[in-house]
Amino acid sequence: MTASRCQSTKSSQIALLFLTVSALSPLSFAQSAKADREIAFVRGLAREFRFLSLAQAEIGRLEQAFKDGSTQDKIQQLGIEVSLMTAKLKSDRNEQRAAYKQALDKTKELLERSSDPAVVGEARGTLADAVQEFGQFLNEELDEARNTAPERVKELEDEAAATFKSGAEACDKVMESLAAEKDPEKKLQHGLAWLRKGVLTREHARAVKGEREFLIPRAITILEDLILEVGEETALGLRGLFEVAQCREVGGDLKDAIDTYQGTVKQISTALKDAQEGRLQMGADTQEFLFNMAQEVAAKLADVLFKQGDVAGGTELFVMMRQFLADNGEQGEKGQKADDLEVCDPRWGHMLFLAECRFLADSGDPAKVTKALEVAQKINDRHPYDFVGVRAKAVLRDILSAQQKLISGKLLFEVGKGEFQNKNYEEAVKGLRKAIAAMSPTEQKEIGLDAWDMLGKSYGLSDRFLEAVIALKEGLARHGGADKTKAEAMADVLDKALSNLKRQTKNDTALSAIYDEATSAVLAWGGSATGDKKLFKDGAQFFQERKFQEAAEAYGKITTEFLQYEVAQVRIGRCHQALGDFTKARQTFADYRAWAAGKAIEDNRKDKQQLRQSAMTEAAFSEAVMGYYEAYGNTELKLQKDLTKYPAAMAALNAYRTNHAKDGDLSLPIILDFLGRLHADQGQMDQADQIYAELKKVDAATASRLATEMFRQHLNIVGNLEKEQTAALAGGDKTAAEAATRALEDARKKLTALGLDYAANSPKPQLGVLVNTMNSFEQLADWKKVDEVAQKALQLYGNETEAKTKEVMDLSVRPKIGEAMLRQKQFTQAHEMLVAAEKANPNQWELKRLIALALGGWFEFDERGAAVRVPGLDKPTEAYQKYWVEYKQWGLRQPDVRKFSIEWYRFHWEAYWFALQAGAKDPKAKENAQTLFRIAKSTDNFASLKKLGAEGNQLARFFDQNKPPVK
Amino acid sequence: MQSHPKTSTMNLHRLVAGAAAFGIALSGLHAQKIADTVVKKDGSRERGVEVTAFTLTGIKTKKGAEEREIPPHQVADIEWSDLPETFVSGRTAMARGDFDSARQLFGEAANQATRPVLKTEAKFLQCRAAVASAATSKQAAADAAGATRAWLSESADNWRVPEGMLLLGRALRLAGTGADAETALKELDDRASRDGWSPVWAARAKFELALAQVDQNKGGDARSSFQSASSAADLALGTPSGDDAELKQIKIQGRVGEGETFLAEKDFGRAAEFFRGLANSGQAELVAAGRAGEGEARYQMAVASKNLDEFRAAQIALAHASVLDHTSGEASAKANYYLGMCLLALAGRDDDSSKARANAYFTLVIKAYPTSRWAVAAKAELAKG
Repeated sequence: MTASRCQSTKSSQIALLFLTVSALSPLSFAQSAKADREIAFVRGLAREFRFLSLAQAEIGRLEQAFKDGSTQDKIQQLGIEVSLMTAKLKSDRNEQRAAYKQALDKTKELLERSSDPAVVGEARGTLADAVQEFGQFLNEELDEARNTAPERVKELEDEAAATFKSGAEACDKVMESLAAEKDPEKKLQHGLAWLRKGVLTREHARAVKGEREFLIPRAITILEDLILEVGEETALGLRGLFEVAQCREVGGDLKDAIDTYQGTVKQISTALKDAQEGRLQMGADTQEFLFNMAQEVAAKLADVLFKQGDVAGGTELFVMMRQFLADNGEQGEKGQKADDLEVCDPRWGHMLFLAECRFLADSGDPAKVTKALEVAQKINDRHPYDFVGVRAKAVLRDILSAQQKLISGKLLFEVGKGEFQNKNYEEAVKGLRKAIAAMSPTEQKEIGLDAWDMLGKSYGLSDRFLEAVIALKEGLARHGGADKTKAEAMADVLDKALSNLKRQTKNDTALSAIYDEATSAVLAWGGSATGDKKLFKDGAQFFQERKFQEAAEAYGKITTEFLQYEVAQVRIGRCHQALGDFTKARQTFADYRAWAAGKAIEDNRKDKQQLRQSAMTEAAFSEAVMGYYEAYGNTELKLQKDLTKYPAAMAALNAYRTNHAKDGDLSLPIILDFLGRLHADQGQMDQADQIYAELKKVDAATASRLATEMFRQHLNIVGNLEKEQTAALAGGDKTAAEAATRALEDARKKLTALGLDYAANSPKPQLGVLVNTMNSFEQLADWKKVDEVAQKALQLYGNETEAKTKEVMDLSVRPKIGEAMLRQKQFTQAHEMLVAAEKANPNQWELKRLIALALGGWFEFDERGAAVRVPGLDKPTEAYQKYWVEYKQWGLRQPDVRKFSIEWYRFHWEAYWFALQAGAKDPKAKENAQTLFRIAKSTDNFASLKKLGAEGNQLARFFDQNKPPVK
Repeated sequence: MQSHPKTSTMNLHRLVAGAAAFGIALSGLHAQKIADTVVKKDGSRERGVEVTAFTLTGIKTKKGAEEREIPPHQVADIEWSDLPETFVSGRTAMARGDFDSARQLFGEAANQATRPVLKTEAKFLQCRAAVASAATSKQAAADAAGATRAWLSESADNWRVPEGMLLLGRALRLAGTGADAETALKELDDRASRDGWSPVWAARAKFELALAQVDQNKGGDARSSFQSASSAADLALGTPSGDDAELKQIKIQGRVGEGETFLAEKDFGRAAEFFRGLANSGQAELVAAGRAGEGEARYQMAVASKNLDEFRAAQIALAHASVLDHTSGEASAKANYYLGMCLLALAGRDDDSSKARANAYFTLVIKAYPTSRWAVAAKAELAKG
């Protein structure tokens, strides 16, 4: 930018605001000056300096320091803002999704709770911002799903629609609250909320194809009304126009969209020229804003031209934009032309040049493709984590897949490295093998060793240690001489891989040749086996063998000269932790941190920097784990559960997750597991569910363990709701009973969903979980699922001989399979199976009851509440005989089945039903029916039955609907 | 909105109208609703075109008023615009190796498509999926052959006819009608020469013919055909083309096929010796294929002899193949499959993770090499539980 434009003025700062999150967040009026000052300071840390971890830590401190409700709300609002900023920077899309959702949920919760107008205003702004970010995320997911997984489209469209709607509503409320404001800054915020409403409506249309027809005109109307209101000549008006052009593009009106994009760029060029030549007054920041916006518009235009294959149009656009940058951007030193990538806006300018790369790559011309690769690579290097980087990687991937011959070994290595970093190990193996084969002699010297090292690690990390040993050995043999320091580190990796191979193969002598060759390579390249190295190895070995005292002693003898000294110090703390001496562990970490604070690492020692980071992460992990044990309890360490320590433990786990999860990925599953347990233990099942979903993606086995804990909690909730329902029914409160029934049904649905998910993902799901899932499906009358779960239990536990398991299988699971078949009305098949089962198990009483049901059917209410007679095999007389003669001794067994208990009533109902059906043809049966009805009705006309919960009430309705014929 | 700087000259209506004076002389094609992309074998792409017709000599496209015909040997793929959902799902299913679903989905897509070219394309892809899904069922293969024959008869002037003929040969082979397969594949070979099709078709036909002969236990004939396929590929590589990568693969696979004929004849010792020869031939592209073949031969020897040490020898050869296969092709898929099989055989001698690691190898083959023939075998192993 030219020097004149770099001088900011108050008014231009305000104008610039509308590109930022803060624009929708008016500063609150201070109620507590000190708190407000501190909040503003922390907000600045996050917004201006991007010190997000520090800001989060400060928020924790503020929460402790300022306890009054209003300030707590402000702090929470700040916390949400910082979480949202953190979410935007996440590179893992699963984590990003969870973080956005969490920010949205917390904002909505705050809006419902807070009565402070300033907080509410800020929260609405944050909500709109979160919606825009999450909506953009969902649109990207939709793009992907439309090309690769159409079955996910509907679900994503629904989620996006709900998200965008809530954002547009938040904008309406912001506009409403600011409508009467005269203050220019407030008016600007009003306009920004208006603009955003139009944008969110358009993005809603982009997400949901079926609603585009009416959403696009609506979005255009919103934006055109805004332009008319603020003036087409203002920056906001110009922006509105650009958004209208995008509406036209989304609506498929490409001709108009292209015209408007072109017009916007042209007008911005003219305006900037007029400003530079003094014909127009314009603040520096407004000029900068327009300079960047022109690039954004051009990037959009380039995308449309690219999709249309308009090479000529694209070429002319890029020529024109280069001229635009030369005319309006900063000049190079001493009159030299500056690099376009430096001059342009790092977001939109780079997006524009990526579009040019795609045009160049499409030409197939080797020179142009090489140029495209070079530029895309440069842009990729400058954007390691943001959306420009994502686009750059996509461009690189497309070029690489189409232009194999033109790719250098170095670039292929970068691709393989990317896969390795993303833990796609087989893809990394493929990429690295290809890179190794394609390397020139110079490249081999430069990166050959790194490539083999990474290839070996890729195999090792996917548990393929034989291949790892071969790859590492081969790499050292070919390129070990190129860099002795790296070779020494690689020899260490080989040594570990060899140990793992020996463990897997139980030191099989048939592999001696491989072991010997690998050992020779370790000795040749591993450097001198110094005392420190041996101590470190010994420490690791002791630690693995759970000899923590010995491990701490070994680590304690390591000198500061050793590369891994800092890791060793942290391991000492971890030994104390494992021994249960948390005070000593914490002291060790504190001492280490103090030592590290006074020991800066040179900039060129990346290895030491990484090791320090790793040590710090490990210490933080250990502290989070100790906090968890102190809260949740730990049998081995004899620690009792302490609910007062839950908040601190959760804060520590969350802080670890935010600050270190990327560094300590391997510990993330443990942290998530602990967090999930703490949430579940407090009945915060939504949060626990969310963490479970996240955990499942990173570690299915750990997720499966968490699922059992969550299942237990869900089961408690169901149990409590059952009690509530019973009380409501007994109390005759119809509204409360209906509400309790609905809540119970929802809880059962959640329970069964979790149970099914657990059963599908666990290698051997617990029988208890399966049985409870099965029973809950029965309560939901989903017999198909009852059958599925019972079959799964049978498959896993059907042959168990342990008495308790066998009893559960025989009494609960096996009969349920027959009953499921029955309830799905497969009467003949069910009857045959049940009779055969009864033959094999003559003392299985429940089988006799089921046979009776197969023969005589039952009575039920369908989904609409209509009475239905299910006839079974329509043999009620035989059913009655079976039930009354054979089943009765079990159905009314003493002393288990008390008179007027639910089991007693159920027996009488079923016997009565069979007798009633048989009575249509048989007078004796009719008499039996009358007698049974009388017994059941006595002595209080079913009043006792109605007090027996949902089943009792249902049986009472059954009797009521099926009164016996009059004598 | 007084806080906004105003530009005295801007005007909304002029802004929109200003496009005409902008200076970018756009071709006027940007309003085209259908925007297909033809992906060419040289890596270039023709975007924003409408594919209007297929003939044996090319793909006809239209962009604005301009009409063109692109010769088939230049075309790698077509990216269609505005596809029916079932077509997209079919393509996804195909990519993940779920060929049976792909077959059904392409069938539905053929019914849903409104553009005639897309309908024909969907029917062809349905045949391709049907043949791919028929590896384990003779009846399914016979059905696939019938469907492909029908497609060939109604699309005789389509640029995909050569591939259709190859698919027909493969389907007939899988259906157990080896003699018919041989006839179909020889016809493809003849037409490739007679009609001047790309040389890759002759190489493909010869290779598939060799497979048909293996299936009929004609070891000697198959060896000749594999050699012939390898030579044809080698000859074609003399003239650079967009098919070079595949020709190199056929050249390698032809040599591998030769060795596999010994395996089919259960002459494992000779097979191992042949593959060792390949690995030591000094040709970089044959090293991994040779080690994988040697691993397979030694695995078979171990199974026959019940000598557990021989499984270790197989493991070492296979692991080398995995590490050295820079093409990430059949050698990797085969090596990983047999590494899994070795682990199953060594269960008890290794630690208790063998079964899980074996399954991990099978899963890897299915996911990372879904179109390889080893993926089918890996699926069968996994299904055993």
